[in-house]
Amino acid sequence: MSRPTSVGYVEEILKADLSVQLASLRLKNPVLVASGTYGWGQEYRDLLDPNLLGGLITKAVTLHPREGNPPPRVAETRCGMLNAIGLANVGVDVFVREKLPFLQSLKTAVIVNVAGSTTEEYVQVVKKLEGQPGIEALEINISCPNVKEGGMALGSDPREAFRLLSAVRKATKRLLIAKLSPNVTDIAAIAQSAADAGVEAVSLVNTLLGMAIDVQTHRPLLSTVVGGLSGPAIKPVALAMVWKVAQKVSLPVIGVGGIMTAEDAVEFILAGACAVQVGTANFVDPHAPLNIIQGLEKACAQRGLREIRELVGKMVLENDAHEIR
Amino acid sequence: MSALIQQKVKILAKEELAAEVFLMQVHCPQIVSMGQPGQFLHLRVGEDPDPLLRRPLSIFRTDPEKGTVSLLFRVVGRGTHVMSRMRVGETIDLIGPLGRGFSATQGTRTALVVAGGLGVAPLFFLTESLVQKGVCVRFLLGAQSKKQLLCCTMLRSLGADLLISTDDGSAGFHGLITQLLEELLAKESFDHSRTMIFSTGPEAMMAGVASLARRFSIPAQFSLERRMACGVGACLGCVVLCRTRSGGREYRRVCADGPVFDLEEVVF
Repeated sequence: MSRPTSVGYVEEILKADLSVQLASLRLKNPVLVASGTYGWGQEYRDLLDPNLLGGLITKAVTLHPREGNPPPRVAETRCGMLNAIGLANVGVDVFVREKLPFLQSLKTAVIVNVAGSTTEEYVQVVKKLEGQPGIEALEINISCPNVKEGGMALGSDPREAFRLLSAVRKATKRLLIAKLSPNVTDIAAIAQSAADAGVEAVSLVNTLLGMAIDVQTHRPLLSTVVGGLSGPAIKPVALAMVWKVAQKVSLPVIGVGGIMTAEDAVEFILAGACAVQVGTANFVDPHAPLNIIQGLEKACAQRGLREIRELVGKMVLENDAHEIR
Repeated sequence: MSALIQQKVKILAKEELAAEVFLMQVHCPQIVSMGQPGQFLHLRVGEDPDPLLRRPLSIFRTDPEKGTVSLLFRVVGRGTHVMSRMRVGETIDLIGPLGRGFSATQGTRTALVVAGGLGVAPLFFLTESLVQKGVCVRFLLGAQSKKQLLCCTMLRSLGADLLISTDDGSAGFHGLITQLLEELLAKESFDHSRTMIFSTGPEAMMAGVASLARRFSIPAQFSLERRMACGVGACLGCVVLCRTRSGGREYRRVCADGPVFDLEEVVF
């Protein structure tokens, strides 16, 4: 101990509290990494300490191993990228045996993303994960655009979504988050179905349907022709959907879609998201989640806020301009 | 698991070797000490969100004394275009060293290195390290014409025996590099327990090299190139179909399981 602690103490009380409450789950900060962009949590560990994250959402886990779609599976577009991975994963049994132990060693909230082709498959995956320690929540993927059965097909209709999520709800006591697709007419209606089914939170949005063609060869850039668009290109769309759902549905919303910077995260929080997920930005800069966490601290300091929670849903509209702080 | 770094490094030199082909030198002692032949770096070409993704480039050469790493690239798209416009003194953000590089089996005395066009990029570093280990390197360099032949002088200065082929006959052997390789394999009887083939280039060329390697029973390794997103094995975007030991097929990641694959694995 070389210096008096007073300076440290001042910094301590000025440093904003970034923790957020997601239903019953306390996150140390609101920055999670999105499913499919962070593997099983080990791949980036030399570049970023995963314990700094508010939470880590795994690649989708299915009942059986899936090899995924044929290549090419990724393509770059203006300010974005297309993917057609197709839920390639090791299957729930291998996940529990080989991938989960590392995740259990982390001091961050581990959320397992669950996908399937049928309701029964989702239920079986959830049951196989039941009793496994070190999993804080399950994110139910009813929005993958890259599979023929299940995924988005189950999450595009409010009644289908309700049926699926109700079945999953009965299978587990764990905290459930439904990950929603933007490729629907009314995302708030799907979110309401999730609420009715007893799900505790929603994350939105998954990727937007998109495609690109090589004009030299006249061939699609993805083997599946159509895939999922992510990255900064989709941020305004995601933001609008987060705002809409936050207005209409009384569930905590996790915002995801093109978040690259702390400013982007602040926008989602102002629109009503209580946490955010960083996805494609991990590919561009593995430090992005940490930069966003630090940027959120700064954003609080600049606004004189002691808690990030005070910023949630605080977008200022013309008719309540008197609430400007 | 090998260590990995992310760092902003300074561009020390940039040279246009041929039309639209650049050699860029950056200062990064850590990559010099960790990087192996065949490994790559994942480069962010700017702060702008467009082009968005990083670009994977093989380590072309390292200089332990100066702590520098050289990268060879051709302008093929928006990312490499931006890189070609970067200036000496500017910084570039890199992640590396990434992937599984080349590995010559112990007892290898002769290496037949087969490079088509820009395929020389990962093979130069390999050649340098093989020569240092006392391996005799026969470097087969192919291009469409004399103008597109890259790094001939540098390769000779490494101590490699350079054999050239051009499609149009403007330099060296007139024909395909695979024909040159076939002639060489037929003419000299290489001891297949002490010889290895290493190859990078257009897929059709590597397919030809692979079938010659099988015909002459010489172990071979190939460096593949695919569009990538994460570069660290997380996203599964860059997979290629590979043979498994049990005779099945599975997708493997070029970024983490490769980019160098064995003859037994590759499916061209």
